[in-house]
Amino acid sequence: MYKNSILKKFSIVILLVVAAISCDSSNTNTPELEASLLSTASIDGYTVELFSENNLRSGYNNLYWKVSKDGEVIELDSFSAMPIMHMTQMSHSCPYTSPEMMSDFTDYYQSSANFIMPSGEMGYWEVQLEFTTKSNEAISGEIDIEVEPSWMITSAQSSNGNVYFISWYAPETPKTGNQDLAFMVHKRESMMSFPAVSDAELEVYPYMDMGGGEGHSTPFETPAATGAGMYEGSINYSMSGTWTTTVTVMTEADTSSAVTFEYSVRAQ
Amino acid sequence: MKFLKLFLLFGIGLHAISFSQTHTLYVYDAKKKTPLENAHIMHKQKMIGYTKADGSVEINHEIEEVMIHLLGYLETTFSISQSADTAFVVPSVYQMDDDIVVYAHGNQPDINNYKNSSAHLTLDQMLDNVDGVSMIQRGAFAWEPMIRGQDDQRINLMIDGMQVFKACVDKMDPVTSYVESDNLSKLIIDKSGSGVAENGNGNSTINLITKKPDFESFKLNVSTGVRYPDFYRVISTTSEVSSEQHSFRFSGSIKQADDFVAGGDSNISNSGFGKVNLNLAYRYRAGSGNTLDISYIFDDARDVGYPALLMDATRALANMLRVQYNWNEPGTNVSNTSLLIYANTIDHEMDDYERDVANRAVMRNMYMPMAGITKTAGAKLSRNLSIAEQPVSLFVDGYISKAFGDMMMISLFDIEDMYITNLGDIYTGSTRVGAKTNFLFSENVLLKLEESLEFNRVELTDKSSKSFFEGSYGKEVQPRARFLFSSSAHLTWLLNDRLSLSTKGIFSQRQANYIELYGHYIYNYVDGFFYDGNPFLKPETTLNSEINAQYQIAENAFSVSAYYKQIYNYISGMIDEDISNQFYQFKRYDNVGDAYLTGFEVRWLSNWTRSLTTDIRTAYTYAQNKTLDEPLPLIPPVHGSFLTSYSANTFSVSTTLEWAAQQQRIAEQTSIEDQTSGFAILNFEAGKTWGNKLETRLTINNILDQYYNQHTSIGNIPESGRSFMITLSYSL
Repeated sequence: MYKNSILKKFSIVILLVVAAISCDSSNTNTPELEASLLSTASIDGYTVELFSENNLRSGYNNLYWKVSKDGEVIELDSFSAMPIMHMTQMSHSCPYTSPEMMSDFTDYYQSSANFIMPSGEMGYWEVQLEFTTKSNEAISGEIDIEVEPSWMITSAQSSNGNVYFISWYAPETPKTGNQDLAFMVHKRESMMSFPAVSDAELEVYPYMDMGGGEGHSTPFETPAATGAGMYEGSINYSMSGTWTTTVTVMTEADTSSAVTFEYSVRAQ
Repeated sequence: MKFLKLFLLFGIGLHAISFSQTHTLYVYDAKKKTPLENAHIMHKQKMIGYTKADGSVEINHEIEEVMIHLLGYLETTFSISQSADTAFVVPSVYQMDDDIVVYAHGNQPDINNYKNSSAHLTLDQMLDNVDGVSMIQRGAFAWEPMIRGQDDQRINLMIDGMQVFKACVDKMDPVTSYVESDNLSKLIIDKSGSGVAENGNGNSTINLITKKPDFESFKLNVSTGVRYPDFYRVISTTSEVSSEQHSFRFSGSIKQADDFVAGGDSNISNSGFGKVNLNLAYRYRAGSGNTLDISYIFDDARDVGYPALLMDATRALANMLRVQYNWNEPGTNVSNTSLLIYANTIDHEMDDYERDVANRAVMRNMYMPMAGITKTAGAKLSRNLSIAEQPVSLFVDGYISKAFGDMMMISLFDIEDMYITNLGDIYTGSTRVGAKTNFLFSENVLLKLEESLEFNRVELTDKSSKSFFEGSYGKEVQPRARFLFSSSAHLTWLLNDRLSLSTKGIFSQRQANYIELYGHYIYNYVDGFFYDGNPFLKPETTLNSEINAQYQIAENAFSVSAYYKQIYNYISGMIDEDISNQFYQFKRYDNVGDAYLTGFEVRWLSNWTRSLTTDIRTAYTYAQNKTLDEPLPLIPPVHGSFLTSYSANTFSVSTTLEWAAQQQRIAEQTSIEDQTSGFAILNFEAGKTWGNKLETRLTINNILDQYYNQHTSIGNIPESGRSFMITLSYSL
């Protein structure tokens, strides 16, 4: 099967960029991260900036961090960024990874977050930041974020009472033809802990409802575990329109209820 | 040997025998050298006399060329000159041409040829009249021809030698729908597929030959007709003006029909249609005898109902331009050469806005407007020459065609519109070389050999479609390029002047066509499945054999042909169970194994008197998918016709009994066809010519108003019930 490593693809997603040819006579290529500034926080004299390719949305997101002081980018010894949603009666986190310095854009640290719900009347999101500078200065604070709703994450409860969060990872923008199909699966251990589930099998069924309860599927390869909660396969959309994909998580001792993603596939 | 040479001379249409100034023409048997009585002498499709017992007939001195027709003899064109007065005609049992010809107008039939019995028979009806040819019907319009159980991609359909590709993925527009019978000179049908040199492969072939200007100083014809109860009405005109070197011909027709009515007064909704067809033709004749032909066909059909299908054609538009130059090279070994250059486009649009989409069997609750387009351009060079006194014909042929088709799906519910590309900018290119020659082994044995080598390349260029197939098959989709070889041998044995036997053997390779390779989500009305192509199909290989016997006794001529065709790597749809469900079922094309077709055609033509003729025909095909061990789908049962015609002076009358047996051999795995009952219907026609200018004709079809359907009718759509049609034709 035509299978590209999705992780690889998405780390490059960082959308490396292409070289813009500068206007000066030196003709220097300056790669730039293709991401937009979403939020800024000033913490103890440090400026923390959050970038991403799109507005943050429920589901999987890449987060790019830049920390500076007096206009100078700061290199850090350690860095953690934990998303927290504050609700009326409680707070909770979501599946996330800690920031790591990017190899291609050393001014930036990259992490990810699978927001399990959007901002709204139910509550608001912030990211709790902790970092240590090279001069061993420990800094902590928060940065406000806005998370928009999307179709790209859903939860399923198993007969054993476990709650699984299934994130739609790829294709980010479904289109007709063959492409990678990937999901991320996390299990809720507590309100603050969502470890990746890497030993499950997925049961997947794409379907197009063409009206009146009639429809059809399309060729696909069921995603299989590749580590870190990632499941990779492929899907071959036969036509544009609204599709659903039903996913069931099956572990050795547990089977989740089936959950359905509904989304639009565009023509290429 | 002299006889065969003479025979060959006539067979390839070189009629150099001249005629004396007395304009008394003598017609003789070419072998016995005896005079022939009652030979019909035709000029410009009109009878101008009969030969007497001494073979003579008086010809008007202004007439330069006549057609000689006599039952049991090959139809012969005779050019009248100053020095010869005897035409030798060859018994038709010595038929050497592989093709049969259906003349559009006028000409009398012989055992190898047919005539159009009515001035207003449609092209579909003319084809349906030929034994071995059946028509797949989806309504009253644009029937799809099938030759000996083979259709679509397994037969060649050409117009004046041009490659033309249909634009509708649902086969609403077979190429035959773009030529009107009033613009048709003749149909050339190669049932066996032995004409591989000219046709480029061993497929059965139908070539529609349109009328060309023939240097009439002025000619005008206006015809009109109306039919009850579907109120089919037609008005057509042809005209011609010419000078010494330039000749122009125009023909045009407008047709309109309401829904037709089947037997028992059953109205068939969504079966009406409207159509305009125009043809402009120009011929330049140089003093050297070289000619230049330019012709343009415009065909525009609108609001065509297809009761058997989910949709109706909103518009089917064809534009075809053709330029051909023919030249002679005196003093060389090349007798004549022609170069044909052509281009054509077909645009097809269909939708189901007039249908009850909520209650149909499949794809309910949505409208599905579809569009398709093909664009084709090509060239063909043909040379007839002599190499070491051996007649050789050479052909070099090439074309490129682009096909595109797509479909919107607009739900009745609050669902996002859906879109699919059925044919994603597919390019088909072909280059072919072919050669044929004849060998005389003895005075009575003739061998004809034909070879063809083709380079065929089909490429899918649409990114989305390509991605889909790459995902489906897990490998990169490259252009499908193949060398394809075809060869045929035709041996004729002249046992005596009454009986000939011939046998043919044909080897042919066929590349899967662009729909089999790259078609996507194409609904097949025969089996109810949606089809996806397979870019990795192997070519089909076909071995075909045919034997034919022709026998002539007095005023009776018999012909019987039997054939056996074996197809290896047979391409057919295989169920894709992974994505099929009770509402939507999918198939992918695949090489499923072997299949064979066998059958026979029998014809008995008899002239009981000079005016009374009968023509009895029967055909049968037995076809089996060997891998699935079931019949191939849509194979017509044994069927036939019995025509009795009487003509005297300006009056003619005929009756035809058409019949078909029941068909119980059906494909249950690869189709959803069902068994069909037998039927017999009776047709009647009478015509009279008034003052040589006005012709009137009355046609009554299905006199007994039988309710029936052909086995090849998709969805068992019935045939028309009793209908009456009156036609008037006036010529200047």
